[in-house]
Amino acid sequence: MLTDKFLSRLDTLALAMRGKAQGGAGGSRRSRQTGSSAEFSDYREYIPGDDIRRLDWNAYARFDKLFLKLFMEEQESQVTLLLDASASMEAKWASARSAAEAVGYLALTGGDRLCLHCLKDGRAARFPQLSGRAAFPRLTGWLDTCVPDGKTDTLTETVKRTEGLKKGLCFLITDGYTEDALKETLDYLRYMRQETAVIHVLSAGELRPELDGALRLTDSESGEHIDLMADRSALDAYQDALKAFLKDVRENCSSREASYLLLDGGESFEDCFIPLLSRSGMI
Amino acid sequence: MIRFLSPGFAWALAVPAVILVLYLLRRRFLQQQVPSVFLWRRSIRDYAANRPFQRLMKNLLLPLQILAALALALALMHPAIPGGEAGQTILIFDVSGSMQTQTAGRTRLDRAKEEALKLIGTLPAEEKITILAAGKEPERLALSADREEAEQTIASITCGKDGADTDKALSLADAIARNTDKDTGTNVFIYSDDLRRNRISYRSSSFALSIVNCGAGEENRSVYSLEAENGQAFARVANFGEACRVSLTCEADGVLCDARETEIPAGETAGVSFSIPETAKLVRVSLREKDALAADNSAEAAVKRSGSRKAAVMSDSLFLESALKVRPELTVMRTEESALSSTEADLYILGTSPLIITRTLPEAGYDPAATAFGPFSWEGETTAVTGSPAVSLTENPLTKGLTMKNVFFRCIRPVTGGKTVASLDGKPVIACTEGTVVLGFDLHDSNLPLKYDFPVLIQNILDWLLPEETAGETDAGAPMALTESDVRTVAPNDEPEELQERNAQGRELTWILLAVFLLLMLAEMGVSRYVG
Repeated sequence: MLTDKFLSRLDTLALAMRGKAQGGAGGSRRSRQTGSSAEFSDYREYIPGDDIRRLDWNAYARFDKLFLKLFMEEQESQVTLLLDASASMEAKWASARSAAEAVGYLALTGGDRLCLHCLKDGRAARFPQLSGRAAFPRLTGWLDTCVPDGKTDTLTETVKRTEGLKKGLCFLITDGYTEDALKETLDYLRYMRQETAVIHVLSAGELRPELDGALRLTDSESGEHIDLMADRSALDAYQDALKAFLKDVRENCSSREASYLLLDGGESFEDCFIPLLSRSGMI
Repeated sequence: MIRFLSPGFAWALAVPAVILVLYLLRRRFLQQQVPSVFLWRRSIRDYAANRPFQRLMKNLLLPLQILAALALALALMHPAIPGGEAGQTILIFDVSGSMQTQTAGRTRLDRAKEEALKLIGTLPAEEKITILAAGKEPERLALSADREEAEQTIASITCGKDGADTDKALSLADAIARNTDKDTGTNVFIYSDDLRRNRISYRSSSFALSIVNCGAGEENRSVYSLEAENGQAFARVANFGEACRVSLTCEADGVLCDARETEIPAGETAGVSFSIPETAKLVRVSLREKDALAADNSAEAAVKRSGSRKAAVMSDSLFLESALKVRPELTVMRTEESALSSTEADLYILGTSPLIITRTLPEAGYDPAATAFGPFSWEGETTAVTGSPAVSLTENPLTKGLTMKNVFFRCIRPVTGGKTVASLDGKPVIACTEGTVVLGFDLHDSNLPLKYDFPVLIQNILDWLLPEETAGETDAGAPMALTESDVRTVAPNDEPEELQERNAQGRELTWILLAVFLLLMLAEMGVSRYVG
């Protein structure tokens, strides 16, 4: 659960979206459509029947012609949260849940529609859409019901089963353990006109494993095990593999215009998340 | 089949199993659940790719440990295979003269010894080693010896001058091998030189035969055969090297009498004849060119007489003539006193009483009226013999085979001088010296000619006075078998000494048979009647 102090900090922030909102309903995001908001957008010539209150008299005085001021239409966007609830997320579930909660708060307070999908067992469990600040408690309640105990056969296939994906922001909160380093998943989301932001959550044990001796490592998700002599060489090899994996994920995100941030499950979430959001351009 | 000499250490074979159990027990990994082995799998893959032997090393340790434990266990059990068991090895050394052939300062025998010592070094310590020397007759130098004794024996082997009969040596080896334990087997090694001469035809299933050639090819010729007879010497020369022309010299009694040259193809032999004087007794043929083996470059031979000996006989005794003619090489000539001096003979039989049988006539000639002949002397008158006294014989080659039983004399003429051979009533009736035998009685005054003793006595006298020219040929240093008749020692007083023959019975039998033959022949001619 996020603290009030942290939530009050989030109030000053808003999720960044590169594209124009097309939510249809009134929101706080710019839309391509011109509307009646206070934000000036453009001029056009007066047509009989237009609202004379919009006439720009200064322009008339200058050009001796009647021009009508146009204002930006502020509409709501859809923010989709794809939360990986597979068993491998259990070790960093606190961080992942907190991230989902924080992003959901930003979305709700920013006037966006929030769609939460819980990905596990090959299904994308969809929660009812939420909007408005008042829906935040419901978000936290639903997040409480998510238990990371599922299996994710392939993340891409699970994401593809996500229903109700509309153009908007999509936050993928996952540990990213796919052979292609989220490449296909990102391609799909891009195809689905999502501005994707990847919140890559890894636990301290995954980022900085402290293992020693003869170990039989058992995968919490698949049950696969590996017998390992965790010596210095093995740990160094793991770090090399981790660096290569993270590099691949970053590169895949970068090449698909997806924002990326790496959330270290071993660090204090409230201390590091906002700076990470800022650096990654998600806010 | 492998055997284990120390089976008590078989318990050590359980050690690898213990290692395996410990390894399996030790290989208990600490279980740890991780969110995902995704990255670990990748890291191990990369790790293994960068350290290709790491996985192999991890997996190799256990089998290496097990192999080491197995090897130690087997070593403790002391495995052994057949072939190392001690058996019998027989080494036969050709000690013929050709083994003295030298090349680069080493003789063929030296090479044979080196090869044999090398072989001994490879044999098991418990191997029984028998060493035979193959000369004319095989000689056993060491029997079932240990290694040290065998080496010492080999070092002491020397060559002879004769050839080598390897078949006889192999026959002896066969007899030894048959007494060996059949389970271990016998190996026979022959160390010889040019085997063309010593062809090995003997084969046996009692042993495995190996022939070690210790040298051949050196330039060597040899005079390996020489015979001399009737004014001719015939030599055979063998060439063991390349074709060549050889020069030979022939010496008769130490005097060069002939020389020849001949071509001999490689590996062939050639016969060469020489002319020698009729009176030559000893012939020597030598090669003039030097070669690898000087010992076989000459040969000697005694000149054989073709049986032409003459006996000039004055006596008219038919018994005497018949007894003399038993010798095929002896030609009996009747002669008169007047022609005696001009008669050349090997033996002269003079007078009647006494009957003088001598090799040489005195320079003064023979006087029938004389009462002395050389060292012998007698009375002018005969002495009548009364009764039937027995004849006493002395130990003498002339009395071999004689019994003189029932030999009677009517009268005798006792002979003094020389060595008494037989006596009657203490009076010498037969006496002898080196070259003369005197019978102090007239053959007609005795029944001796009718007895089988008579031809035996005559043959003894002939053997004494006309011995065989050669008892056989042998090389210097080589043994020679002799009979008593072959050897006669003569005292300084010209009296013969007698050699004791170990086996006289065979000799006696021979003369008995001869006497029987003569008797039968005499029976055909008629029998004299003794009137006494």
